[in-house]
Amino acid sequence: MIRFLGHPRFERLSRYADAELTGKARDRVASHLAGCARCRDTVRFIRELGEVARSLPVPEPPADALPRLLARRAAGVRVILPTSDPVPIENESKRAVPAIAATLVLFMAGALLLSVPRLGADRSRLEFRPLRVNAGTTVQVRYAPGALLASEPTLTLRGRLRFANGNHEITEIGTLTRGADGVFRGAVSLPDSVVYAAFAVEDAAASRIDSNNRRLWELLVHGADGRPLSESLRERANDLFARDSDLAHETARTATQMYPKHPWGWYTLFRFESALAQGAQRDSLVEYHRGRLRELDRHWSAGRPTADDAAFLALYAMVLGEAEVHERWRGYLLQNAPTHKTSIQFRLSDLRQSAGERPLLDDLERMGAETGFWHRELVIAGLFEALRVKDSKSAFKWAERYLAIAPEDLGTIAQALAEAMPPGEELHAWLRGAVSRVATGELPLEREPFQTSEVHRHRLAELEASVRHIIARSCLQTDDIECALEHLEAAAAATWNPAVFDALARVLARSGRTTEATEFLARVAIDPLADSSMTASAVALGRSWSGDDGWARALERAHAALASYVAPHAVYRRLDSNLELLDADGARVSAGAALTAGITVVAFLLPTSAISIEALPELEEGAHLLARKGVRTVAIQLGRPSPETTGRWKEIMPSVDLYSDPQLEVATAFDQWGTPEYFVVDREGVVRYRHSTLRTAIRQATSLAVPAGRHLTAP
Amino acid sequence: MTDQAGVDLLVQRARLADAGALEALYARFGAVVYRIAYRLTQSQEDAEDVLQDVFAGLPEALRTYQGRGALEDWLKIVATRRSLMVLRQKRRRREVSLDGTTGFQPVERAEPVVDRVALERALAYLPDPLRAVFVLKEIEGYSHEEIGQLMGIGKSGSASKLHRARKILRDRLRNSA
Repeated sequence: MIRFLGHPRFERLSRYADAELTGKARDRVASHLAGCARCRDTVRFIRELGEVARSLPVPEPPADALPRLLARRAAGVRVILPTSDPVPIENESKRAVPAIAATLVLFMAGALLLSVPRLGADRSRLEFRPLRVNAGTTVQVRYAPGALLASEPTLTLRGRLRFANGNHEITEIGTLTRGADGVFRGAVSLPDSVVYAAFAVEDAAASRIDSNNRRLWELLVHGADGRPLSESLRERANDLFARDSDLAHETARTATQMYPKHPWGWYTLFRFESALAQGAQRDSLVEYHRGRLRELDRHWSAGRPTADDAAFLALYAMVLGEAEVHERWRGYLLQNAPTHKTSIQFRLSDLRQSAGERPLLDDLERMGAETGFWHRELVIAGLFEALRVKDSKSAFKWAERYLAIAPEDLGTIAQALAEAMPPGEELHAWLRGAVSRVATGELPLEREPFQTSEVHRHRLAELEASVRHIIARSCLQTDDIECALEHLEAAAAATWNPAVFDALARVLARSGRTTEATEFLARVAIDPLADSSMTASAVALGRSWSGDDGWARALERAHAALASYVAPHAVYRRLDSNLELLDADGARVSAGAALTAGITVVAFLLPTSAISIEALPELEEGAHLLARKGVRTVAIQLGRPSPETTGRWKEIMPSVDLYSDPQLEVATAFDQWGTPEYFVVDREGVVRYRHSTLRTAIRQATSLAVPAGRHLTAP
Repeated sequence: MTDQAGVDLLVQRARLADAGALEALYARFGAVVYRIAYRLTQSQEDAEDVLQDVFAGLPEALRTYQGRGALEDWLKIVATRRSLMVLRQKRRRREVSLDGTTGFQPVERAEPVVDRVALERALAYLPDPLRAVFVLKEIEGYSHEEIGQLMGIGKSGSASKLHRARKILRDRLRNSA
């Protein structure tokens, strides 16, 4: 037997202790140990190390962690967590906006703010006269179109109006008519209560929309002193949260300079700045804002604050941990404006303190009767309290109230009902009715100003599919195969969701329809985001039912179905391959070389934005999934990141090719503006898709990674 | 209602940002999240940051949780990822060299008895990536494959880091013996 000349190295003994060695390697170490007390001692030590480590004490979480957590949530603090489970696609498109909006608080103190330029060529212009609009003024609108809408005789001006009380609505504002010079003109009159509006221009069918590359065109209502109103700035910040968080941050900062006595600006600014400040930097930030709070407190204690001012004072004090100031303004608000939205939040919070001790439905009913049932948190509380006490009649009543104010939440409402209530006709009838009302527009789901009618229909279909999936699961609980089949088939026709495909395949197989089932198993198999065990099972079953050739054809059809599914988000923009990027070592490379080596997912990231920083681990995970499909992942840092930042990002994303775009030329070529998005570039250097979520971009890229011998044509 | 059904309902409610549900989930799983965060960061302050962040982001994050595995396991992964992120962001500088050479000659000395207090100190001294692998493998019981995926270092990277962590711990414990 071969023996060690000296002692085995520590690593080898460590691997032996973990039973990682096999065959002769293991035998050689075992043989050595038999005659070497010192190495036996090392193995004993290694094993003991783990045992003792497991017994080490861990301190308890601080007792005040929970109250602080709840206060942070109540103050609107959100964190995007690095999760890994697949996301049901049915909520994907609508989730992107709240997820990003929720992270609006994640900003950096003193960050470099980059404004990505827009394309100069063929850029349309929308102008308003007068430039500074006062409440109720009639505004003359002039629109010089790009190629997209130039041939239309009339166009629709559509947008989101925001009101002084914080409400908003999306509506058609007016019609623009083309003149002999090719310029469109019109006049709009805004309601007196509007303080901010953001517009897009669209054709009659809303199939083509000029949304100024999602930036929209803005109108801020000004006061008699020529300044934008404080409420106009507040609503601008609210409107920009999801579209360009940096601009929203800047707007809050402007508000504190222009209106230093208005608490909302300081509160919002603190939320932006505090999220990324750490350690001593955070301490000094808090100290600075406490100073501002003291000044505001002194000022408003001697005056008569509006309900909004009192509400923001209470919230500002809460996030700064100033309990006495918070309680005082909270009390003031509750006494003087008990139906204000922040008052409702505070009152619900008080009610929750007694949750579990007694039924709260009566209290919630009384509160709703007093305030109206328009506050989202109130109707959610009512729905779940009804489900908790198993009062199905009340649950349907609160579900109706919830649906009336937030039809986009139908999927979530349906899931809550289905999980808490017994399956049966009453539940199914309600769910079917709700789907029908949303689909027919009886409960209007707002179309965003930048969404075409096709994308909106797609979103409606997704919502319907998600509810049908829930109904189908409920049908399966009572073994009603016919019912499950009806709803799963409808869902599968409208969405791309591996869980739906998998369930449908199994139901079809139970009915002996394995040929059809194979089609859906193939869709599971090609989806890079499907659960790995589901994929393995799909491949095994699909092959066994259809044979190798049949399975290969089913996979091709599945690719075609995926391509059709992602089509509404297709774009077509050829890149100038002469544009330059810098690689991670700072060397110049052409965009052509960097981005067209194969199908590529391109992520633009802003080094100073928490949204981008939080996205890095997810991007690394996505790169692994994409690599299996032969797709590259490239991240482009906007601006000039420091070498330290680049090094850190490389460490977090070893599988992602990292470049920077110092002059933002490449970002401009992509038409990347505002909150960074994901793009899919094909082998020819054409941008084929864009989307705000990585998960959708992964599926878009997969749709281009067609099986050998098949080619998709450009739109 | 079964315990699992109770958790499922809590998850549903928490997804809708119901504060009561979040509180109940915290009562059940807060200590688990804090424990893993503390072990990974070796800092009560950082562990609380992770705890706060995990639960502050939970209602939104739960929309990605499909309920296939136990919620506790999913939360542990999320807490681990968040802790690793905190560690990366802090980029703590350690004086110890990564190859574990500390000037001692291990071949000349007997292996130390593993003392709990000394081990606790030695763990805090480990470079973050090595401590993370050691904690995840030896204490939390993850496989090298799982750790490789979690940390983006691959299965062999995880195994290699574990052995280096043990060697550094051995040298530190000898020093303190």
